[in-house]
Amino acid sequence: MSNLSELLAIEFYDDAGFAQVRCRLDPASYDGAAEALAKAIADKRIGVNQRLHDLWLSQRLNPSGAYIEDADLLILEASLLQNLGTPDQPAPDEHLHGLVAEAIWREVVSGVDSGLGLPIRVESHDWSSTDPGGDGLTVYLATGHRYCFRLWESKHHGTDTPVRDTVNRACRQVKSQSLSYLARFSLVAQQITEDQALAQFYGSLAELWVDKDPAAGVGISVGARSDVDTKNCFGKVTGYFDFDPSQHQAQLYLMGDFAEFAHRVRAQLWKGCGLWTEP
Amino acid sequence: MDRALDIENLAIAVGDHVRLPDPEALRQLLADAEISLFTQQASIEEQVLDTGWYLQAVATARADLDLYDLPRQQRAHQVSGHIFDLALQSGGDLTLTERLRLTLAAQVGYLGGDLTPNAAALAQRVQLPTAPYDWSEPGLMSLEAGVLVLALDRPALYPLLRVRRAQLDRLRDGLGDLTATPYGAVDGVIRGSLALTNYLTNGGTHHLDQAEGFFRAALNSQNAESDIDSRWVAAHLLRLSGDLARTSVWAVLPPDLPGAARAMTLGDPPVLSLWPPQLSFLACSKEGPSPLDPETRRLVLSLPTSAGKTLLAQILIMTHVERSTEGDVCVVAPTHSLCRELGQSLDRRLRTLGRDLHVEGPLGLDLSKPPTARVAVMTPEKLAALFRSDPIEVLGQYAMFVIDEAHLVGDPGRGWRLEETLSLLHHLTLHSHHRILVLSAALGNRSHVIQWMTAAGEEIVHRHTDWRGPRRLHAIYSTEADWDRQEQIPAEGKKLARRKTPLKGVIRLRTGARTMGRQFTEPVGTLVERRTKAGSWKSDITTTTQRKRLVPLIRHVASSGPVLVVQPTRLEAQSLARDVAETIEGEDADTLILVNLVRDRLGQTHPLTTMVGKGVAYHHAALPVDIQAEVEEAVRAGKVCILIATSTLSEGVNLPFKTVIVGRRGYTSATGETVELVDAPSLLNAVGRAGRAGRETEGWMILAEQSASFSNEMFAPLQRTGEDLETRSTLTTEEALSGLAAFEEAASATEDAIFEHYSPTTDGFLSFVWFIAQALEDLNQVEASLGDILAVVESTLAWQQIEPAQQEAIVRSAQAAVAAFRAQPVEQRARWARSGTSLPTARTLERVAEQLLARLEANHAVDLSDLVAVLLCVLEDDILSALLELRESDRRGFKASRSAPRDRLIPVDIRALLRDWVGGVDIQDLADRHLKQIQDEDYRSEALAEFIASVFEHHLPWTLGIIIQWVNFRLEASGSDRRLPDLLAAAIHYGVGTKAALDLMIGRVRSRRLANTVAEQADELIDEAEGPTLREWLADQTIGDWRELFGASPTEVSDLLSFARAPGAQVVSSVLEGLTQEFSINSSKLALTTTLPARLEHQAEAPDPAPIQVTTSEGVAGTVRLSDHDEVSLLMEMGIPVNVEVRPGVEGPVAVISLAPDPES
Repeated sequence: MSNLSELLAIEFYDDAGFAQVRCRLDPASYDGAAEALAKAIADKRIGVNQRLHDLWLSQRLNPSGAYIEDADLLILEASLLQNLGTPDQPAPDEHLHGLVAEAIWREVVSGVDSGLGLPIRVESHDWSSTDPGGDGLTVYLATGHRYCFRLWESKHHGTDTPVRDTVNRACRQVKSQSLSYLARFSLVAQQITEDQALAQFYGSLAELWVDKDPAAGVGISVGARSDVDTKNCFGKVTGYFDFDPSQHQAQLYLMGDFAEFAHRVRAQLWKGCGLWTEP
Repeated sequence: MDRALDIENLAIAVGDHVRLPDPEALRQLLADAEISLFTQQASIEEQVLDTGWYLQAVATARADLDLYDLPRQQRAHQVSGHIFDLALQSGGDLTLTERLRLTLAAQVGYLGGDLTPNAAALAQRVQLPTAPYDWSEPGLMSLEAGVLVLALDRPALYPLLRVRRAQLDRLRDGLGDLTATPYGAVDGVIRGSLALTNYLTNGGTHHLDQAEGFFRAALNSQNAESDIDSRWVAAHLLRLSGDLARTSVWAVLPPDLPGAARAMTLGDPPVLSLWPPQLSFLACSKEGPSPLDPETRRLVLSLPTSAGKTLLAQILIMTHVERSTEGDVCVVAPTHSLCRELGQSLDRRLRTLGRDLHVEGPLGLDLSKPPTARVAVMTPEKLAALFRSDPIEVLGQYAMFVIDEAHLVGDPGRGWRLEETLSLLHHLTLHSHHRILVLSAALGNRSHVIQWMTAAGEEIVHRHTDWRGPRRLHAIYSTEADWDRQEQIPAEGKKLARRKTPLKGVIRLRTGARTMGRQFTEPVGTLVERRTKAGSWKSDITTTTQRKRLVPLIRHVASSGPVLVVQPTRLEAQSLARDVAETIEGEDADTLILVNLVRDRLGQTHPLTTMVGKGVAYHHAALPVDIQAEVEEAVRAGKVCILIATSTLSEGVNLPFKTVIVGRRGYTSATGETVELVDAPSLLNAVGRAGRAGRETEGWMILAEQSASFSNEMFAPLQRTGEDLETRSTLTTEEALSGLAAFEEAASATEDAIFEHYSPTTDGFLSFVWFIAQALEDLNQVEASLGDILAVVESTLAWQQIEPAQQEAIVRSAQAAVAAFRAQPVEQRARWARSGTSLPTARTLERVAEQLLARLEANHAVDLSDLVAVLLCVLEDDILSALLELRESDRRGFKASRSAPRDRLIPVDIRALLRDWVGGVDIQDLADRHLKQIQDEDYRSEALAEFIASVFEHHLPWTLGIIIQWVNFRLEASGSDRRLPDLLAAAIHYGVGTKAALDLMIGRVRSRRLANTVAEQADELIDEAEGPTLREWLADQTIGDWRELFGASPTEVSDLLSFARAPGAQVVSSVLEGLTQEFSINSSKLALTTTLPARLEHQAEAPDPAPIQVTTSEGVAGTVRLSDHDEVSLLMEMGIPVNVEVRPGVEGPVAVISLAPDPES
């Protein structure tokens, strides 16, 4: 199975140092992309439970295969299907879209080098995907063995208005919540990091942010339908944060019909739990 | 506020950063936020909140990473706590999750900034779950648990955490190991919180290790990686668990005293973590002697209000009780209200040790202390009386003396009595094991007190700090005429021209070094002036009074939290309360019970009756004691939010207020002199009430100024601290020293000079010398030498504070007093020494006793078992008059009106009044029956209440008690078997005339009405020969019966439950010791055939205090009997996990309770 990044048509832009990535999904790759994203979500949510993960994987590939015990189904519902619901009780589409947008971001940001190399750590906050401000954090080991980070906000753009409206809203949110998120993440990361240098870096996240240190930065990612107005959608991003342009990143995912794509991802997740009855 | 806005602190904490305001700008932004909160236009700038989060990151950086130094981290904690606190108060549309995050962040800031009590106060402002604790989002559940852990709210924690753990266990049953699920982090937080609470409550380092293990598991839980909130909570709790452990009583108290530690953690309030001043005091063993060491015999502790000195004293008391089997603790507090409050708190702690509290009765009543009671609480006068009566017994009984609010030694009326007692106590125990702990909020001249209390050759332990938890905002309120909006009213006919000018209310707040003013949007009154014939303008009587101008201010601040307004006189307190109540529409349904109670006691027309329904009350010493208690309770329960009081309340009771307003402090006399009615100590005390530790994070202190011209000097009285108040012995006053000179002169002329009155303190000193001579003789069995007597005189505080020439004068007076002592017959001088009165009064009492003896010998018909009959016989008019005319009596009768001269009294039959008082007639009827000549109904009630407080509750029981003792001694010596009843003095004090009613009052029932009502019914229904005791009779009823039969209010039911408690009941201590407790319960309809697991719960929908039911899965198995209710209720309030079962017994169901084992162990 391909991973999502391989299925996306990726274009890189450099707007005076502001790195932007635009990804398009060919409708012919919908199912492959949905499978890849569903697996990525499963890897993250139940990856440590090898047996359950294998069970989910085999059930998804062969829905008429092994029967899933009630006890296992309970675990899957409580873990993998959190914020997604079940076919009988699906979670609101708003949750689903937010979750899928965030999962795409995670896959792309982990697999695509936008100029800082691949991140050594990707943190995301998908438990309550509607909780605003600071949806993710990526940490890079830049040149000279210096760490740097980008604080991300990922959004789904689900209306007919220009994408820049959503981008600007994301900017406002990340700006107002940035220190809250960084302070909370900084504490958690320090406590579980044994590497002294990395722990020091985690302990300095807020300091780097308030000093506009080159090691700090921000990223905005938006998932949308392919037919929406994306003109100059990241044009105002640099105005919000007063960083050097190189301290900004942006990602735009144009997934054809985003809602349909999200439903297919969910269908894959349900299928692995033995909950999908359609052919 | 000054502390929180200190520029140096802000600079150290924040530094300079591109994205953050600089320290000066931050100070300004914080000050603006404080003021906008005060004016209720709350808002907080985003950059301030950003600074808060930045500071939290600084404060919580791992120490071993060397990113920030410790002083900076501590200041960052303090400032971030303040910022988040402000954000919470101003955040209008925060979600519950956001609110909980901010609360936890603020708690972390306050805890790390050594402002521990603020963490508890914050938790009271956030909506936390209540039973049945529905399942929720993991992050939210962790935040809720975290907030409660950091509030150290044990009673709320255990029920929540136990339910959460059960919910997670059920999930685990279905899902398997939760660490492999997104619930791994919340599971770690809940289990870790439970283990940490177990450690803080019960000690045991394994609990602490467990807690840290769970928190680490939560942090590392890979499948819950996205549950940032749970992991964030876990990270904080892991980081703080070490600090909490270090500050817990388990870490500070010696390991061989687990009972004392548990008494603190399980009492009310629970002490799971000590505050910085408490730690500093208890940990001083490294620098010198430990206060916990029994060898440390003298301790002086001076901490401001809300710094935890009372709890510190309780720690010392509990360690003493657990450590020593001999020698009890005598706690002295200045007022009956404080004794009651201290007693309640001590009682709960003592009961965890299986010990009881003894509350000493009034003067004139000697109650024997039950053997299980290890601590006695009493007023200074009572200790003085006991000490006078038998110093050897007092020293044998008590090994530790705790003197609270010791600055009372400087009180002009009561100071000398405390000073002489403490001086002799100190002197007699210089070389014995006795310990003396002196506590005070205000001791500006500590060195004098320390020197006074220092035992020879021994280091005294003393500590002082200005630390306090809640910050304080100071404001001045005044009114200014709005001349631009003046309205001219031309003359019309005979009416002279007038002009009306709206008055603006102006509030000025002190923020750091700046003062900022804000105006009320609506006028707070009108200045009305009329033109005189001479053409000048003169203020008209229709101008809004200064008092009424306070009303808009009071209403404004009351919307943010409870407010206390201090007024200089009772009348002004009452009038202002009425003014405020008149502006409030409708009644609060929550106050219905209180309204009914006040109406029943004081009458429908009494002003208090209507105002309490609106959440407004007044409080002063002239209110009946039970009504005072009900009002205090209503303030605690939040039913009364606006309390207008004289300074007696702020000095006497520990009540929570967000705001204190001092309405008027005094007046300018005709000669231009300022007469202070609220003096400096009273003001300091009032200031101390604003923002109570653990309940508020901030207090507002507002001084109302009548002058329209503002100056910054007006803030000065608010900024005084205890350092500014010097405690001086009353013997050093000009009046006392002149009195001594007068005595010295008189003594050179006549031997009887000592039987004349001088100043009250001089009289007190002479009587003290007399007593020293007697006490030393009693102790050493030989006549005391002058040198020994003078050595005691030199042990007084006065001796430390006067010049050598004045010391010589004191010595000469003492010599003359000793000479007079030696000239008296041995038995007589001993009696007079023990009386505790002045010597002229003792001589008068001797004469009265002779007279009474003669009367009793002549009148054999009087039934000495009938208290009222004996009282009437004893207090024939001549004896009553003699007692009322004694110098010690400050009230001899009644004036026709408030403004009548003091010496113009109206004829009132005091004996008839006393008869009705002891006969149980209620206050309103007493006033109507005996004081009709006083036209003003308010003053009538006030005058009566004052007279009762002074004469019936104090003077008569005291002096009559002395006489009864002397008469009975003479009767016994003469071989007679007749005796005056000992309880007579108590009957007068309590205002009840039957043995049953007295038993109730002595048994801590506060309401005289209730005692009389219960006694009446008991008299009818109990067979005196074979029937149950009063206690058993009451315990056989139900709470419903009490409400119905006696009309008992919730407070009264509580008092009866305490009275009905089975003697020696030790359910709490036994369960805590790990024993199983069994007791019969009242059966229900459920037919019990086998042992069933059960739970204890208060009967649903029954008003508080509700009956306790033992409930099984099949239904209610029975109700806890009232004899056990108090103990079981205490166990439930502690919130500790217990196993309950119920089994069939021979005489009905039996409840079986034991401590629940810890499932993690």
